[in-house]
Amino acid sequence: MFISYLSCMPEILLLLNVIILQIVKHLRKEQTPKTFASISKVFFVLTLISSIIFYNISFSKNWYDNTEYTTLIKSILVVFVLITNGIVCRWFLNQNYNSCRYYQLLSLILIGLFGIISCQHLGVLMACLSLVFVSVAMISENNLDNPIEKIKLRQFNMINNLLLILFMIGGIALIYEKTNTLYYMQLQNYYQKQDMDNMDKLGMLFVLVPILELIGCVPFHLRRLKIQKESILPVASSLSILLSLTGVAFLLHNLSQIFVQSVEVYNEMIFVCGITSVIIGAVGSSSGRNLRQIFGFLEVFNLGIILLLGYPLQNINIEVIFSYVLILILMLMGGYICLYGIRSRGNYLQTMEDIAGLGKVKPYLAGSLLIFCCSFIGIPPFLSVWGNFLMIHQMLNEQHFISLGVIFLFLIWVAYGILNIIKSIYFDKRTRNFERVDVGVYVGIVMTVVLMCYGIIWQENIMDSLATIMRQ
Amino acid sequence: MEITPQMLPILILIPFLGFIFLLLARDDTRYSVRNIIMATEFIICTNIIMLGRFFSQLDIGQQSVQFLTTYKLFEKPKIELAFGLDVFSLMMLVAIHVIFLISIPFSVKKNAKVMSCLSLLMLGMMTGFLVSADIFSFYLFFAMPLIPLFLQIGSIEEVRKSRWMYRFFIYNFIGMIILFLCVCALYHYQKGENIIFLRGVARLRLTHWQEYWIWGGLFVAFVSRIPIWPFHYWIASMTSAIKNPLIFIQINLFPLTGVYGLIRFCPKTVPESVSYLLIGLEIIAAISMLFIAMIGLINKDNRYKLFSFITVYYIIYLQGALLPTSRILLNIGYSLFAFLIIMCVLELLAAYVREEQQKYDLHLYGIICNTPRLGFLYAFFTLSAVGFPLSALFVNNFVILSYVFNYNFNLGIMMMLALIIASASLLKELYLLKDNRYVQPGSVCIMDLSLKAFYGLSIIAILLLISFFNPLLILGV
Repeated sequence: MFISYLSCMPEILLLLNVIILQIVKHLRKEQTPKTFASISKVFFVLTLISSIIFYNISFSKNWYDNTEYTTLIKSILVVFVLITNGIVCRWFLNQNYNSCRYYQLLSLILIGLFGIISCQHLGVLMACLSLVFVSVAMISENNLDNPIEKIKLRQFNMINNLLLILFMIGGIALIYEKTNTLYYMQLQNYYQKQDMDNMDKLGMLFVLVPILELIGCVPFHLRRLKIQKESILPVASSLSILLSLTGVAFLLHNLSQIFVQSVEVYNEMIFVCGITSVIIGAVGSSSGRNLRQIFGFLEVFNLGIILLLGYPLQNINIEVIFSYVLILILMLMGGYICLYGIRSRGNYLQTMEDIAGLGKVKPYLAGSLLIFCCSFIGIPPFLSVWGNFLMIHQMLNEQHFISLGVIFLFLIWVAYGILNIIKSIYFDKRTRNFERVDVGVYVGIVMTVVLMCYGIIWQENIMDSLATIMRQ
Repeated sequence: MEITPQMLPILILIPFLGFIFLLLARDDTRYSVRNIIMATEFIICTNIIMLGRFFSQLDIGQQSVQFLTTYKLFEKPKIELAFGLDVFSLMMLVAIHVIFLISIPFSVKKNAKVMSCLSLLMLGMMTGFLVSADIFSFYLFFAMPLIPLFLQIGSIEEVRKSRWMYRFFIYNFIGMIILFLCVCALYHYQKGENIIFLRGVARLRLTHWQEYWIWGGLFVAFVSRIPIWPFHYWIASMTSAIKNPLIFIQINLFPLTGVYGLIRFCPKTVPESVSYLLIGLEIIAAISMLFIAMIGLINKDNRYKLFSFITVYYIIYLQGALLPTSRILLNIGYSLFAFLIIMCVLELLAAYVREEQQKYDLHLYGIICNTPRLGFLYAFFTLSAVGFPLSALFVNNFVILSYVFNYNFNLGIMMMLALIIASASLLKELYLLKDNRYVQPGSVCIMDLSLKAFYGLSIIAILLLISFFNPLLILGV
């Protein structure tokens, strides 16, 4: 019994991190950003270790279930947070930025995301989603200096969160009214015996809306893009990867496997969201001048592909989708790590004009950015070629020729956006001086490249492991 | 040293290792520029020696791919890469290495490190492309050169301003995507095959619609590499804006990937259901050839003339490759071998003349009449290019044309006409450069070629003469 409760150790540790950071903030006179980063680092490492140790132990399978799948997702989330933490720590130090609130909110977001992945109850899901959305809203407006922008963002966040929670409550109420339960297992049993009526379908759709918001696909991409453009880089990069990965992981595992009967309802919505995400992501990435926003649109484009790969949910090939998701994460991680290296006068640069002439003064960093950018458009020999191959293979299997056509047609738009970045880096005249690149950035880049190479060389092992985990 | 098939990837690796080596070099002094050039030349020579070793053990009589070696790429889904060589690909490899070897000392002056690095990268990718024996490795090396070439093109201000480089990239990118889709589709519809060899593509069993889309896609993908009508005008404008001969040559090597792709993929007879696509392709090729040749004739810029000449020749090879026979495959190879080298030397000489002309602010007419070494080489290579019996172009073009006439008389006439116009524009250029009526006695004259350059290029001229019937003679086979 005691061990069962210990299975919640990762979440408890993250909560402890929030509390200890608050205590340190009040008690310690000399607070430096490094103090908070160090404390958080210890707790994140412990969270990772405890997640792995208690990978298949759950305190109540009806409420909260840990499996190898959930452990894999949690581990990826924490590893990414640790990498980001290692890189941004020095920036916080240089800026003398009070990072306590940042780490507290990040820990809360992680608790919420862990809950979304592991929970087995719609009520818990709603609580976790609410925690994530509120924490995201707070972390995104945390650093803004301009009070007008801060108020605007706050209003936007409040309305958005309110709508999402209302959708969730509405959906849960509709489902509960019919089934008298909110446990996944009981819902699954119920819908296997009963046919779904329109109210059930509406309830299911309402539950899907916050998940799509978490993923960040069109038409739920606005807030994410706003955060990416306006927040500080650590927030933009962390949220971009953490939220999307959790959303897709939830969609793949829970929606497609637990709500087996309801997938029919989701198919059309997923297809429409997928196609529009591909189109808007591609067009947005080709017309933007802000690098973070371009990365945001590139993410939307790739999320669209992931959704199209998941259509129809009945014939879903989770291995392929998850491989694609991992490749996307590596590409985004590499891209954002490069952005961490582009600084001038202590600030992270984010527009095309800012990075003009980077190739002449920082050839290695520019080369790395070039590699990750080219990955997005599938130019060999980078890992994305494998992702694209799997995607085409899957779509030909499903005979989704229209989706395939749309994806590759709009890939040309994406290529145009990437060309703008390359042009800016290599061919435009330098407008500002760049700061020395931290060693951490190069370490991060090397790690990402090593992971990409690992993905290519031991692709068989990864696919096998994924298949084993997914089948559970 | 015994050459084994497993050593084939070393050919690709050597330029890549050279690229990494040069990437770490310093380029801030005059000496380092010289060192970078020497290191680059050394790397290329090493590869040429390796190629010689491969040639020495190649069975010339055998038409199939030799030194075949396979490597597992992915286990799930199972994909293997295959590399191999035959006489045709080996000849192309030697020609490309010679081109890089002679153009680097002429061209690398400013940004030595960047230029050398990107050139080696390009060489490595082209080598990989020519040794690939299966559809996946073929695609990988077909797509890869796009980035180094784009980076080189973008370094030219005029190209950058007019945004031609965007069009160039997107145009080739579309071709790349289409080829990727076709390769994936071929793999998908051929379940159970780990490797699909290039020569085996034509034998795959596909339905009518699959054949229609896949072969149509393959044609479009390969033709996208050739400046075909109506896309020729901006490719021509871009090419003629490039002053650095090495970049000019590399851009003009790009269509070779298209022609080579068609030669490799296209069987003696394409599937019947798509044979009418070939007719469309022939029509477009014929129009492009005539159109570009005419523009070359009326244009005053010698780079444009050279570009039109090169394009006309590539389209002739393309037509030759599409003929329903494999008998002239070696003739195309021999002719291409000579053509690539002639094209490279002509551009190097033309670039030298342009540079000297700008230095002394002279008129182009009669500029080489007082420079015997330059004049001799310019005349020799121009006459070789236009088809005088000085190189392998003469005999082998005759064979290719005779086959085309035999296959389609009208097409043959159009090809003949395009060749005459392209040759006339080159001859006109030579005449103007050597016309001494425009030279005032005692006026300033450009510097003649250095003795070192003259002897170097003379050796190339002699090699071309020796290869009159068959370039394999100079390769010691």
